[in-house]
Amino acid sequence: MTAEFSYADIAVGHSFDGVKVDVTREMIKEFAMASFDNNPLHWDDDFIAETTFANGKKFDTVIGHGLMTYSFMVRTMTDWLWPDNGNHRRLETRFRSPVYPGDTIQVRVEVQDKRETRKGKWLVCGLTVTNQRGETVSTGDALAEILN
Amino acid sequence: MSETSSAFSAEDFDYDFWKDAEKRAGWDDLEPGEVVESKPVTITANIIQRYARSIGDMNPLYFDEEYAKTTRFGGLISPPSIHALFLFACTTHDHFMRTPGTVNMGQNWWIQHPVRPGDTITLTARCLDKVIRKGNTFAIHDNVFRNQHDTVVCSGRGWTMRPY
Repeated sequence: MTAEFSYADIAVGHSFDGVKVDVTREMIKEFAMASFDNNPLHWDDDFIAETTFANGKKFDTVIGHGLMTYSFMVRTMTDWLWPDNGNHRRLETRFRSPVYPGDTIQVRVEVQDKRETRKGKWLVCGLTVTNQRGETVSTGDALAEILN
Repeated sequence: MSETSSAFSAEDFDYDFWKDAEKRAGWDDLEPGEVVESKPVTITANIIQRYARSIGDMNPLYFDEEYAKTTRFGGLISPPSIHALFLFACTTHDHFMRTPGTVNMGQNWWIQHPVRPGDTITLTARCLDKVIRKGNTFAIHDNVFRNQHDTVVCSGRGWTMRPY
């Protein structure tokens, strides 16, 4: 728990590293069970081998769920906001590259804008998730509501 | 599952996505705007905690009721990404999200209220639009999640690349 912050304390441009995860097959399988998304993309190597997309691209191995990456992005927001009188209100993601077992992915947040509406105080946040090769696997636009 | 929905457990769920695969709508069959069949699901602390563990999120707001009562949330809640599981728990086995090879391209969810243990969540789900881009077929879908008080807890859209 950190000290409570207020809307006025947070500057546009503030950024920080969030959740960092070493992705494993076991983790992907556990997420498949817990989220009820057991698509063979996430566990079946034979299915991956025979799956080709229209542009000729194929996945290298089984992939992590987009919503698993999404959940790490949301977790970064709640870890930051909930102890400090803020709430995670929205996240829009684009899953840009696959996440594979063996990857280490890192969420990063930047406060890009602030806006007071008639009834709320909002931080407009840009999220990026990169892997150990520096590739961006996901980007996101989030809204945080600050309560004080 | 009946409409009155008892507490949902993993035993209620058929993890075999190949089963009934031929019954699922392909891209051609999807009818934008038509609401698909779904069923209400009553979520337990156990299901919420299993989900939280799977993403390594051990926030006591999901696990420690005594602690949670002392916070502004007033009791146990769930991670705001919990709606991932309702996409599957609330839909039928022949829903197109389960088609093997479905790739999630992006997701946006607006969080209005936290989901709590004991809540019964109803999902209104539909394909909203269909796209072909660079030779691949995509569906855009929207999802509205309501609790037992008919209050919207979350709404948003996602888009998937369709395998056929």
